[in-house]
Amino acid sequence: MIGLRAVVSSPVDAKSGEIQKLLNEAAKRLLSRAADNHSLTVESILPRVAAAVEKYVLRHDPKASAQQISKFIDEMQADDLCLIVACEFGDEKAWNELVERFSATVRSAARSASSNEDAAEDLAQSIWAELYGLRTRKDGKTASKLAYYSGRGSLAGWLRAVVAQLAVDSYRKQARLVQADEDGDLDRLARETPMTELQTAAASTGQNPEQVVSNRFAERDMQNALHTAVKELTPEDRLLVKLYYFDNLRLHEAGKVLGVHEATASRRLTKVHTQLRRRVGEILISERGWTKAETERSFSEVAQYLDTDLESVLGKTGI
Amino acid sequence: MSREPNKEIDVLLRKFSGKPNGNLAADTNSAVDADNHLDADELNAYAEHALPAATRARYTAHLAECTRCRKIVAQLSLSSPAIATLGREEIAPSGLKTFLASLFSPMVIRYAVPAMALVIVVALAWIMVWRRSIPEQLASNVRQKPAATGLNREEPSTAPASEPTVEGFTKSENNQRGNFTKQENNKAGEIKQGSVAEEQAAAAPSPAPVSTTTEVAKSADDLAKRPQPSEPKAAPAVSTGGAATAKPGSDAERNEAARQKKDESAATRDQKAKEEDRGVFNAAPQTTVSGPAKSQGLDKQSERSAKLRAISREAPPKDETSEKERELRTVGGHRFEKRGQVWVDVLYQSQSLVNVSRGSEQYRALIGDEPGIRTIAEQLSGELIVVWKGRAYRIR
Repeated sequence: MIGLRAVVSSPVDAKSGEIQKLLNEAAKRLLSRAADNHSLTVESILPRVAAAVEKYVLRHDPKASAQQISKFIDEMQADDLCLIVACEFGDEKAWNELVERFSATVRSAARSASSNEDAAEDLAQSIWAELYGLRTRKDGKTASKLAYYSGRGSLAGWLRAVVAQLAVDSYRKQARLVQADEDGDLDRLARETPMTELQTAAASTGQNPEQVVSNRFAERDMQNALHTAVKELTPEDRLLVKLYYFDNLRLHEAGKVLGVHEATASRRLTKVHTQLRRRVGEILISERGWTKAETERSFSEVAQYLDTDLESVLGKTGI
Repeated sequence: MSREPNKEIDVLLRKFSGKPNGNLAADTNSAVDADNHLDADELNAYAEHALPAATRARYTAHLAECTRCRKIVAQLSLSSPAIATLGREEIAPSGLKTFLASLFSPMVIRYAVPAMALVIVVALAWIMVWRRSIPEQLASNVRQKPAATGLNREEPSTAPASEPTVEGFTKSENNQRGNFTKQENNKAGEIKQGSVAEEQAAAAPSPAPVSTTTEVAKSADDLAKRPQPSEPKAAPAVSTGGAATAKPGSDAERNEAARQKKDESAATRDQKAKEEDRGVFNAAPQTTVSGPAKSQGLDKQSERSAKLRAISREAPPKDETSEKERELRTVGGHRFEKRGQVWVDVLYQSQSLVNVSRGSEQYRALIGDEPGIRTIAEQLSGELIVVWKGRAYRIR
């Protein structure tokens, strides 16, 4: 174990010969791995390597070992990083290669993020402008997005992410013009259902209004309890629940995001269900003063009540 | 998931996530500052699972709360096959290289090469067997009278007193088929070339239809006299009296017989020859029926047979072969003798001739019905007389 954080986070100030040696050797290996290193030197690539190590390794794991750092650097995309650094240095040949190899990727990503062909073309042009660095920063250097590519993921994936980010941000910007900033939060689950809605529901179902009101209160309590229980899940499980229930991904898709097989995602979701069921019951009993019998009955009734209501709301069936 | 409690939670989650005014999906974006969103590089690295565990865990916690980043990551993750496809298109040559390289991987070499060698060996064996079957088919197509052919080889001047019946021939032919086929196999190429030397070399050691004649033979004496029945040399004969068949004897016996014949007096020659024909050659009885010319013919035949055997054993010089070539040729299983300008089938015994002109309609019809005659006619130029299925044809 070596404490690299202070040194690597500011590579210019690197004093330790051991650290410098580690990064130098790793950068050399990276250059040698590249099929075309665009005649880059170790010195030219070293700051990017050090920045990536700091960002992805030391910032979250200050006690990372030299072996972990070496492994991290050895797994970087050598060809893509060399190409981007060469472009940053103004290598025309590298630029031509970048455009030639990735214009189709950018166009495809822009097309999938846009509603029509014109918008896609505009988006793609914006991306290339951002990459080329038409803007000038306060320090006089061109503000190119190329500086943000670490070489950890693929260059094609990074370009798609840049396009998606730009598209989402511009969409959100436009959306804010027509509606207030979304205040959606789990806390809104506690919001009371308007009385008029309850009366309408009672009239449409033919149920006793008191029963309808009772069900609605029970539903609200359960919703709040569920909200709390979901928040208590591990980040991984919570992400799975969000991907599956809120982003409407299928299990294999959610598994792909999480990096697990569909079967694993399914097992994990079943486990989450059990965990949530138990935890919601505990919350209702301890915080809302429900008895165990009431909890069980309410679960059944609310679920049944919601199940009939749900079919008209969601097209999704079964897990 | 099928369990009821899980279903209830599932329904609740679906319901609450889908409700427009009370959903869980809205997350805590208010708590996520816009500056805290993951950048493109982080989103991509997460989607490509290229992050160290500690870093990934932190980003997972963020994604669980941030709808914006989560949607982008999901989009990137799900579009990764498209990226992979593009990548494959871009690096198609290297994919081909990889495939070619994989053909020579140690595992492939270890198992596939011996398997391929085995397949090649089997294929070669099959081809050889298949090639052998071709001459057999040819032999069956140009099948002659095996008994008569065998007789001709050994007793060219000995004519059958009576032609074998069709039934008899068929029976004999069927019986001889195996040996005859072998004989034809050995001789197929030689016949085409028309080389007498080669034919003789092949004919002498080649098994004449011995087994057939042996089977057909009714004479127990003949069988007993045959010292080496397993070494077939003599020609077969067609039975005319119901008992006779040609029996092969050993080479030594035949040589001795030939020598004895030369030494014997003219008075006893016929009888001795007859005895030897029975004892050594197992000559067919038709020799006795063949008339006055028989004994003389037998003598000639014996001499010729001795010569042929000597030639085959001693590998005669080429000039001798060419001398023979002028006299005798074997084509299509028939042996022909040059008499003047005419090739005469040794089976020919002054039967009535059917005259056929080459190129005539009759000729075409004949060779159409009997491809064997065509082979003979093509091999032997000029006029020839061939005995075919008991009928004699003069082809000009």
